[in-house]
Amino acid sequence: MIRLPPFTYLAPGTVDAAARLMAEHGRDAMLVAGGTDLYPNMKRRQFEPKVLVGLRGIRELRGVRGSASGWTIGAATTLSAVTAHPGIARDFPALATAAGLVSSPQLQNMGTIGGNVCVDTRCNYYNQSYEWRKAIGFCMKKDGDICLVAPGSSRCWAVSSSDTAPVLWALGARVRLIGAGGERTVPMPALYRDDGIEYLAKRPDEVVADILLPPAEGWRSAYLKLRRRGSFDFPVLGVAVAARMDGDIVRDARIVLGAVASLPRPAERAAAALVGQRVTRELIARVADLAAGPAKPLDNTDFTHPYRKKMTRVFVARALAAVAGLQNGSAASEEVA
Amino acid sequence: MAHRIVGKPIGRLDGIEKVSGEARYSGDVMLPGLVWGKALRSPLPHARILRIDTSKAKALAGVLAVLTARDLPDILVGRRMFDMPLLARDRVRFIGERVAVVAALDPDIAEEALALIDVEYEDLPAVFDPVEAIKDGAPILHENPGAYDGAPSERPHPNVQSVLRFKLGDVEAGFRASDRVFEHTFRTQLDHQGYLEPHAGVVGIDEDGRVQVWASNKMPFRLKELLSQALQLPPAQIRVNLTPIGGDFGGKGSVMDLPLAYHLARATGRPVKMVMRYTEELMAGNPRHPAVITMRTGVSKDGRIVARRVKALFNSGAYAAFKPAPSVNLGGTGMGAGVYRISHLLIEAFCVYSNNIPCGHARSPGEPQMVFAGESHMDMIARELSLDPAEFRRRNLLRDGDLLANGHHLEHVRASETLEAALKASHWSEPKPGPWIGRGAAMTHRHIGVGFTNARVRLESDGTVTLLIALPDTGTGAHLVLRQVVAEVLGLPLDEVEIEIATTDDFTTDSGVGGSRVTHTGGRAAYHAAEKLKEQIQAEAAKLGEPASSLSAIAQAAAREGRTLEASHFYDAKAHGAVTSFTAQVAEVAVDPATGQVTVRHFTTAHDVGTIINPIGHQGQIEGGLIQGLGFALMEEMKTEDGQISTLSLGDFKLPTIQDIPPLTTVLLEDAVGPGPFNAKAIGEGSISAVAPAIANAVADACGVRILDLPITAEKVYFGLKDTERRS
Ligand SMILES: Cc1cc2nc3c(=O)[nH]c(=O)nc-3n(C[C@H](O)[C@H](O)[C@H](O)COP(=O)(O)OP(=O)(O)OC[C@H]3O[C@@H](n4cnc5c(N)ncnc54)[C@H](O)[C@@H]3O)c2cc1C
Ligand code: SF4
Repeated sequence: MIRLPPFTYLAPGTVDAAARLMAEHGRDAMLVAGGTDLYPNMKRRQFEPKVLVGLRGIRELRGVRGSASGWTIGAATTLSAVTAHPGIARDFPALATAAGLVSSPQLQNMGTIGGNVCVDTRCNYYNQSYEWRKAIGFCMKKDGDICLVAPGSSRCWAVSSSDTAPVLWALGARVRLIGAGGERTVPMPALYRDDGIEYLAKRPDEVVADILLPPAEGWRSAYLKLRRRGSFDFPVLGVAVAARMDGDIVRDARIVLGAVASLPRPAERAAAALVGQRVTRELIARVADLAAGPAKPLDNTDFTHPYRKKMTRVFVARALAAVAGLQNGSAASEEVA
Repeated sequence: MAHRIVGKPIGRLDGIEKVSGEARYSGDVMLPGLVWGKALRSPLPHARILRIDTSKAKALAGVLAVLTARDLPDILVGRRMFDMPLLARDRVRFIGERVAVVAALDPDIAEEALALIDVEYEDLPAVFDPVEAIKDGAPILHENPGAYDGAPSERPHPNVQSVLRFKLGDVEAGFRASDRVFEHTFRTQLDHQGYLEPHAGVVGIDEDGRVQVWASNKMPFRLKELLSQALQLPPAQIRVNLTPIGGDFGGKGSVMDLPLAYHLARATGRPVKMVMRYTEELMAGNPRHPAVITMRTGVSKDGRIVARRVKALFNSGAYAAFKPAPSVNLGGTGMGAGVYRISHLLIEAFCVYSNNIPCGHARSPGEPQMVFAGESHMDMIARELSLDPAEFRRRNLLRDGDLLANGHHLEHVRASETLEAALKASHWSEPKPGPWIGRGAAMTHRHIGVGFTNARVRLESDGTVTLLIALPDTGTGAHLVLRQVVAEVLGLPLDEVEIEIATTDDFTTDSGVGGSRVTHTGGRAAYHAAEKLKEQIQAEAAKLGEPASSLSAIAQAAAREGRTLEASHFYDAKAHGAVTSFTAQVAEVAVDPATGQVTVRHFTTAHDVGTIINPIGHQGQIEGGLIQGLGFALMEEMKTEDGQISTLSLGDFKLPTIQDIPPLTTVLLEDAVGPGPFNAKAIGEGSISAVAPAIANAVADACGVRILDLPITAEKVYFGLKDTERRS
């Protein structure tokens, strides 16, 4: 057992109070929701906050609400609750699937969707015990100043490993952020930055309060995840596809890849190639090639990176076929474990 | 024969205690004044220790002792070959080797103290691959291994720990007489046993100066002997107290941290607890040996095996200390012959030193490696001969009277029935349900373990019976089996037989847990003790002259005369190799041609078994072994680069989850011929070894890709498919 270092736990009753506490304690403080990512990271001394601001006691952060303008998911809603919500499962099957594929049922009961979109980026050289990192030489993501995967690189390439982030991005979700200085609502892409260390573009005092989903209105979606085992494992590749269909013609489409970069990576050219087209196998093959193009996995997760690159194409094709209602020749299951 | 309690599916009586957290494992033992020990480990695979500065750690508030090799006697420890220092002395040989140890008031302070110890090292050239390690000019791990206590004498290279050889006939002549000869080389990975309870122990010195030990260890009496050697104390001064064990799978037979805990207890005057973190288990436990195995087989035109030569290199890591067998090698090596009659056989296994984690015993030591190689090799040959793999096996199966590589003549051989049962249950001869689906078969067999156990049964005044035993239950449910045996013999309901866990003070010896022996040795000891008690009870009842008198009346009558009705039995099972248990397994897999991912659609396991004492426990052993075999086949791998293991958590070291387990059909061919109580045989290690080759053979059948190195990952299959495409 690795033990947690000592820290102070603050339990505000409102989001505003949480944001104020964050501002007050500055760099010493971190937010914690389910703690399923944060506590293991603290044990390995990847995070060393002195103060934790807990979100579990804030009622306004929990629950899924539907309205004419779409769905609102409170950031502290558990992944189990998101998966089990009938409205979400009906309108956004990809989201229900993704939340239901995060780690294991136990962790879905604890982990929240807000924590999931803010989950730390990952790398084989970083998700290690303190002693291991010390022995191998610290890297710039924590305690060091070089990158061990891409020596000579001036940035960190740790991998965005959230299952729900690429899906929410593909679904056109927005996030409501509440900070000490006020609130703002931004589209998902504006939450992220292409950097393995500073992967979130929000201010540290800003709390993700809600995730807002537009009405489903003709959108269909699918999410596929690559991992070694049928449970427990982080995505080594995630493919989210959302498309608005008019009969068999695609009117609008988004393809977003998870776990291929430090942030969810949209495949914009590929998605554009779908618009106005009838979905055929040939089209799927062409779009999958385009989508796999920008994926540049490095050798810092499970599975070899040449393999991950090859799989991007396969998974995009399968997700497209699922959305278009085409049965793929083989094993077009929702998840290929 | 019909039994009342034997053969009944009785659930685990210690289950509630265990799932509710009530059970007290070694790591839960608390004693007044107890302090915590932690070890500092080497970050380098091979280095000279130039200097260790412990002054800052010693100065930290709450630290009670900091010890290095200089503070300890110059003792080497081991299970059979004694080549491992308590703490590294002048030199470290693997990443994770202990160089200093701290005792502190709590584990946090102990960890903090470790960080304050300053060690200066000087790198030495290192070697990691077993093939490289036995070349001329390879860095040498131990200058004079022959001088170590327990070291075997044969040493073709200084980096060879031991050589194990099995020989029948004249292998070269056999090859000359063969029509065709095939040779293939296989590799298997470094694999942890995966028990959930890490090594844990508490050592205290009591008022009488006796050393009290609580340890997650499966052989209390051997532990006492080993500690006596390591601590230079007479055995009588040591008592090992048994606790529940949270899984062992072969890995919990060494002294591990206990001598260090003892020296810390001496230094601090307090009891000391040491619990390994799982990270430490994965970098410095005693995992399954990785292997490089070359199989060469000569066959006749009609598909009969004439000769086989097997050469295995086991990458043993920096020390031989964790291997318990007299050969200081892996007995499973004998399975290089498979379940086949081979008149000309030569198997040679070399355990090789390298700058890696020292390996030890893991469920059926050496067998999963050997059977993967042997049973893959069988299918590859069958393919070359254009024979159905089942038919090729049929032609070569062992029969009654055949000689095994270890020199035993077999009796009651049910190899062929077991194979046929598995083939039938798996619909082997029916068409496969679709493309990219394949079936693969594999077989193995295993001896029934031998050893010795002491048991004592006592009639209590309330008429219940207590079984006293010092044989640990490693989590298998063995104690329940023993209670069933006693209840059966004495005609009692199960809940009137209690078990009392003894210590090493209560008996003189016991061979403990290992080698599929517990139901046999413990069961027979309990059986005979209960038989003796039954005779006493009958005699006593006759004396009372009231045949219908209750057990409590009998006990009380004896008590009035100052007697307790009690019987002991020491059962010593001599080596017997005549009866073994056969296993035949069939995997049906689907290969996803676009991703290389392998899904095991169905698994069939057939076993030639003796009397089943508890069907739930029996099935639990079959399924547990099978799941371990599945992990070994498909995902478990301690990834190592230059001696540095990177899969140091159970997130990265992939044990199968329940989602990864296929539907299972079990076929049991019961045959009451085993040497165990009520003619039971052994089951603990029967289901693990053939799983990987069954899956590998099924993958080859499904997509033509032959995987020669474990685990069978999606990327290997995928790139294998690409290779095939390119070549065609
Ligand atoms: C064994 C294991 C397997 C896992 N597998 C997966 C997986 O397959 N897929 C996956 O996506 N994740 C996985 N995770 C990570 C984690 O469990 C999930 O991402 C989970 O959703 C995190 O939610 P949480 O509420 O527990 O977050 P926490 O651990 O509480 O927080 C995570 C991060 O988000 C921040 N945060 C939390 N809530 C907010 C908020 N409302 N506003 C702003 N910042 C916030 C925290 O400060 C912290 O930096 C795994 C974790 C473990 C231990
Ligand atoms: S990508 Fe480089 S800098 Fe970032 S965590 Fe990995 S090794 Fe460290």
